[in-house]
Amino acid sequence: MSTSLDYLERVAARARREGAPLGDVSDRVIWRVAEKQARSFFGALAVCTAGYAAAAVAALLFAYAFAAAADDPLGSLIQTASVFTTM
Amino acid sequence: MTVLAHAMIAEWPVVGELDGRRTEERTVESDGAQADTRDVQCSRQGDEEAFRRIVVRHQPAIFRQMWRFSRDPGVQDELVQEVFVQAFLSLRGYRGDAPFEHWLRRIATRVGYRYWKHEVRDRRRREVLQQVPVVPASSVEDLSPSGAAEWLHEFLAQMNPKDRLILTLMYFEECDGAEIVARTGWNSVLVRVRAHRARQRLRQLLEQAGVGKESS
Repeated sequence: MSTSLDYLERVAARARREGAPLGDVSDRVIWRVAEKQARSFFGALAVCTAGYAAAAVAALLFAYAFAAAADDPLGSLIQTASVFTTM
Repeated sequence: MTVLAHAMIAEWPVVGELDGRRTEERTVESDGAQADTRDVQCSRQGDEEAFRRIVVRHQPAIFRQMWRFSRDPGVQDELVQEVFVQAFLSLRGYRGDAPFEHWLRRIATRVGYRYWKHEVRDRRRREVLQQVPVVPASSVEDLSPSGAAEWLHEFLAQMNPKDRLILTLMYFEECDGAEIVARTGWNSVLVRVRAHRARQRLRQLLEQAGVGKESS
């Protein structure tokens, strides 16, 4: 081993004897974990709600279009679809 | 190729011999293994108290490990928290084929390494020049353990994060090649080659700082 790396090895041996500062993070970890879980739960809830709301709006639009032009259901379907394609 | 591989193996420092301290640590490890398995199962089912027990049991080791990544107690504290939060989030991925502490140490290594990469990027962004630490005038034997650790930490900070991680694990943590592979999750050939190059670079830096000339 070269003298420079030998020097470093001796410094490292001394450094390893140093005691690191210790502490207690258990409360903060549990708090952060609970926060993350809540965030992911509410995130999933928001996605589901948005999905249901979008589906409900689409269903209402179709229902309205069918009711407004009961004599020509195919024409109203095309009209409603064109609303979605232009969005 | 074979000659090169042999040279690399020969260059590997003779560290990590099983001393009394390590044997004692392993006994404690086996005692805590059953408790870990039980608490991991409970934590997966959302038992926060079980996870708290895991944190309390392993935090001294993780605090010591993260002290190698930052010598700022505030940052060290943040890193320890991050390790346990990451551990909780990936608890489902723990298969139990290795001791829990090894798995946790691997997460800790990843968290520390990510911190270093972020630190380097931040330093580059702020265009802060890395100060070359002055070689201590006193002999190694006169250095205090924290003085030695401070100097070594600063000296290794000159390396890029990958090399720094390998050298930190080798010199600070006394890890051999297999342990470095286990902690980093990197390929063993990559670790060996990188360790060889990192030590060459380290030797150059030490000689530039005048270390090789002083010590004999």
